[in-house]
Amino acid sequence: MKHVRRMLFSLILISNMLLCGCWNYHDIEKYSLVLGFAIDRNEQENSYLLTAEVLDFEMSGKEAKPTSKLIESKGNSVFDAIRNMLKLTEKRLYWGHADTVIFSQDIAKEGIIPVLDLIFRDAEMREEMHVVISKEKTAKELLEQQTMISTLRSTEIDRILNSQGSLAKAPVVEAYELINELEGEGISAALPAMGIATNAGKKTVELMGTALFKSDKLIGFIDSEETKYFLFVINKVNRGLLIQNESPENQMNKITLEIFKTKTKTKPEYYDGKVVMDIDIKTEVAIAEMETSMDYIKDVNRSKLKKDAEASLKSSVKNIIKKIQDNYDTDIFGFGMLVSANMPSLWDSIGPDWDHLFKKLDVNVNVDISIRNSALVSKSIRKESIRKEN
Amino acid sequence: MEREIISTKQGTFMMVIFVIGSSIVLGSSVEAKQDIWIAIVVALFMSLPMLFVYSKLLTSFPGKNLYYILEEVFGKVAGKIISLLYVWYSFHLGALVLRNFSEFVQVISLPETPQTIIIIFLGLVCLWAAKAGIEIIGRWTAFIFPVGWFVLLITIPLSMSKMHLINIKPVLHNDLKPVLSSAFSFFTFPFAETVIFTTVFNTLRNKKKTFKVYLSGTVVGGAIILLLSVRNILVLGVHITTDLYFPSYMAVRTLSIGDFIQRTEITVATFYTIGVFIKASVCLYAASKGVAKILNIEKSSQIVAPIGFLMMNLACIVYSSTMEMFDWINTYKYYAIPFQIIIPVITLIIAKIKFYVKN
Amino acid sequence: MFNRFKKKKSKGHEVKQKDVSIDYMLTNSLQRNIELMKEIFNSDDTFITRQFENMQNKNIKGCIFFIEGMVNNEIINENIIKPIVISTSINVKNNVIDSILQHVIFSNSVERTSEINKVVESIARGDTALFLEGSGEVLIISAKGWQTRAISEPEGEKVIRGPREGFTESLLINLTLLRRKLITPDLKLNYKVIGVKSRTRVCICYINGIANDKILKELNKRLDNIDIDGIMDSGTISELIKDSPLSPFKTVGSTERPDILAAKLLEGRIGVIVDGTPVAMTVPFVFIEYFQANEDYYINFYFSSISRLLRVFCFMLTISLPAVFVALITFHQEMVPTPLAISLSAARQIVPFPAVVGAFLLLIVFEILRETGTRMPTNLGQALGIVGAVILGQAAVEAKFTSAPMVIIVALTGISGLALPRLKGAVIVIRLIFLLFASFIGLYGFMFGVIGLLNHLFELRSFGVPYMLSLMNLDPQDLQDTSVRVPWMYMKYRPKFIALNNRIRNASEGGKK
Repeated sequence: MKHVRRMLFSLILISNMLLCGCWNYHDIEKYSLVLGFAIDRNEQENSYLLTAEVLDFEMSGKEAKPTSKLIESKGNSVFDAIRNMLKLTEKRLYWGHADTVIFSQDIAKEGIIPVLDLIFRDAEMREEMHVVISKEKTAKELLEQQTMISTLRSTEIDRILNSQGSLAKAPVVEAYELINELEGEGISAALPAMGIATNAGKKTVELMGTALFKSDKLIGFIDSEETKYFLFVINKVNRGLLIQNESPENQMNKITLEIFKTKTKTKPEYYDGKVVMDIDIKTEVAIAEMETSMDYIKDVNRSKLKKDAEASLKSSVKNIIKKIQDNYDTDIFGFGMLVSANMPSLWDSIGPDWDHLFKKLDVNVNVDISIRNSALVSKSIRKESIRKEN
Repeated sequence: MEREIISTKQGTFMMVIFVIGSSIVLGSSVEAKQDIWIAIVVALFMSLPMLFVYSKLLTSFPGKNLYYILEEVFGKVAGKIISLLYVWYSFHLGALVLRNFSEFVQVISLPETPQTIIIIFLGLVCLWAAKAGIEIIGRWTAFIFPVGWFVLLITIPLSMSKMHLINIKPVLHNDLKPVLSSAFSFFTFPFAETVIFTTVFNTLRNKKKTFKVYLSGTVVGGAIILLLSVRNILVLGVHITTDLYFPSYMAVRTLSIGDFIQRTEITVATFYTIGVFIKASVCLYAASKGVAKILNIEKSSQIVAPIGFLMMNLACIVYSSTMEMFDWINTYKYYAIPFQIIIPVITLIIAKIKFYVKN
Repeated sequence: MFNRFKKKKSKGHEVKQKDVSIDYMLTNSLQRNIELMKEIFNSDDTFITRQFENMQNKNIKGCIFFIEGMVNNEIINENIIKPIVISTSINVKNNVIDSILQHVIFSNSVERTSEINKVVESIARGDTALFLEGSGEVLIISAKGWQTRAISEPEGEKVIRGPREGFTESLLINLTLLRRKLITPDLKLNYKVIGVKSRTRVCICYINGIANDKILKELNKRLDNIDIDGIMDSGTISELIKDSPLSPFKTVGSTERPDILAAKLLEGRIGVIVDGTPVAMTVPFVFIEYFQANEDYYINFYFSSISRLLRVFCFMLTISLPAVFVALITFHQEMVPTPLAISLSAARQIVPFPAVVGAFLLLIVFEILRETGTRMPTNLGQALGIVGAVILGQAAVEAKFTSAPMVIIVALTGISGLALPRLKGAVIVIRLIFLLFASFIGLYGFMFGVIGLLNHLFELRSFGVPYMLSLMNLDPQDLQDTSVRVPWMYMKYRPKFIALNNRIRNASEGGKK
């Protein structure tokens, strides 16, 4: 009798689980994976327009080939727009694999915190998503363009951003970092900007520098080249190139230096009532290309090259800081944060006034470039006549 | 019935896992902000005298657990009443731990699954372990600790590239008060929760090492919590860490090495599951020991099952929302004072006086 | 947990053997005795009765009883019948039976008895009983002789390096094989008889001074408690004496190799050899022994350590792979890297079954293939492989019955399961339970499954020895022969948990010092 009771008990337990079980059970093919999405603002209706790129399959024979489709939907909130997509598709969308989110300029100008909240709050969406600002009128345009190599638009945007390690022409920002910057004191956000470009007759998406924010509102853009120097300041350059003119007069002959290692140390100093930022850039480069007949590998010329390169990097960095200070007045470099971290008591007094102070902040830039090697070749390619001259 | 015996090593590991058990993912005590590491160190130092009290209690009555000691010190009736308080404390703590876990699972990955199911699953394995006895729990910890410790800490070097030292600066610039307040939270949860081990560690093989077990268990556990908290702040920044319910989970979530090592947050969830399992089992074991003592039942394993099922019930109804749970974590530090500080200290003093009078 | 399902032995239900001595008594009359024996063994056509008398003294009459086929005819003819028939020196005055025992019969093992029970059993065992006129006593003469299988390498436990002999079905031969490995008077061999009808002889072997007395006592107790009609294989005994009868894991080891048995005895374990089966048992059995092979001790220790780690890894794979896979693609899609998620999703388009049902079905198909393979003549194996791989695997994917990743997962699960043939029963059960749990609440269910499994393993004991003991305390000495094997040079001690005293096993210094 005891055994019967026991078995009955476990039977009830198991059947309970079996019958009402599997709450969160969803087969992977019942979902459409969202690869990336764009958020636009509809001013008239005061609603959000969400465009999601979802994974789709083209059945070619036995094999299913991944392609993608766009789904648009409107909603009063971002989440509303997401749920409204169920009006259009049979499958539920799955947001855990979305790598990229694109905001339109309108939204960025209004402020991005409201739309970021869902990304941060929702358990399905991942906080390491890349955030991009569209330089075009709308954000969805970017998703509509053709791809270069991959068949999936958002994945390609994600890969472009990931490969910025060896180009250093866009700040790669993940959503959680963005939130930290937005919430932090003495730092403003800067996001990569993307726009439409024509490449070999195809319209496609290209990185176009950096979008600058003050608080959470977009206030302007800087281009790719400037972005590089901006990245130097915030120590986010891994690899990249430095192009050096042979001399100010000769703009034609260029020497290209490839960065292998670079480190920027920024320290705030306080002299007689003024905050000064000391920026120390230490860079290791290699000569990657020489379009000149001058032998810069020779000791004397090499130190000249080093000096020139240091001087031009220094002036470029100074220029970009100056430009930001004068034109935009937003502390995307996080100087204020450095002050508050290293001189907390000073920050307490000057913090509220930082916007004002940042504009007039003095910056010292020290650059130290060391040339590591010259790749495979020890000389430059040159004509016989020139060789004799040397 | 054979007497249960656990070795010094098992005891230490059990203590470590107990200490880090649920604190590993819960983002409690946010007042200290970037000085949280100072708060943890302070809390560790604050807990040292209490650890001494706990182990002194145990070594004064070798081979007896807290319930025996209370009866010995306060007499039969008063002792039983105070024992009942401790039964409630460990029972309630076990239920809270179960509930924390089910909240975590629901928030993080299974929003549609009722929490009851998760509590039942976890509760059943805890019940099984507690019924099998403290030896089994000891073996468990000794087996899982080396693996878990490695998995847990390997995420720290892996997330090195995402750390920014600036996140923990400035050091101690804000007032000392929030730090101390945080430290007190850390003291009550989890360090002084080890008071529950006074009902368990009478089974230690080497009674002389009770204090050593207490000390090393808490210090190692505290060190792990310290490392993980600092990791969270360094990776996520102060603001996000304090915003999140489960910062550790998020910190590991951002970790990615190349395209290969990514989406590894399951390691945190795994270790949390094990930690919660050990912690709830110990609580359940302690509670049923107490009930057995109060009701004069010889084998405590006989009443593990009813108490376990009650614990699951309590876990299901103890909070109505996640917000309430995190509010309670802030209240808990006052609720725990009598159990963690007042009663043990008084007991020890009276016990010492009685000893003195006797001799 | 499983212990509590153990039934208490109900009284009054004992298996009984007919006690012949109640109905039959030996008398002094040979004729009466012959009739009596014929009655006991009636309708047994293999029961042979042979009467004879002495050439000179017709009063010396005798009769032998034996069972055809179980005796050595030559011994009976030459050493029993012939001497009695032609002997001239039988002293009739005194006790005839004494005289025959002393002077006539040429046999090394003769026993005198007057108990009918014993006579009957001895005849059944293959001995020859000699009855004499005018004597109530019987001489039981050992003249056993039957065909046995030659000693060969056991199919299930083949080695590349190591002795190639295996136990046979004959207890005596097995004991010889064991004795030849351990030439010491400390090797103790105790007989026991189990089975009311089968009267199977078992032999408990241990090394005195190394084996743990407590375990020995416990083993004897459990063997004595067995009350069953017949034992056909040691498997029956091992199930009857194991610690928690409902556990899928065994707590009694088994081997067909004398070298393994000898090695285990040297570690302090106790062996049980059962007549009629080549499989010997060893107790206590701990979990890690599943992963140890005898060859590990004979070959390079790096290689054997790697093999052991592989076996442990295979065990983990085979129990958890389907569960983890199903959990990942149905509950935790976010934990799959994006490219993999895309290809998994692509593979699973228009597959009709949910992933968990597909996994169950494929696992069952795999078990069917395995089962068919074991019960089939070997020359059909190839056909089975083709059917399994091509038709069931490839065609199922092409017909979109299942997805290719699932086939890969199940195949990997099955293959890694085959690396541990001794664990297969447990593995199938655990795998299915894990899969079930994983399909309820994903990886958390799987984790609870693992916790439950470990709970069970930690709780389990084999003859008082915790099942997972050597894995639990991180004592380097205990770990040296677990998932790795250290060189023999360093294995100086016997396992602590079995051999309590006399722990040093090896004091050699290694080749060069």
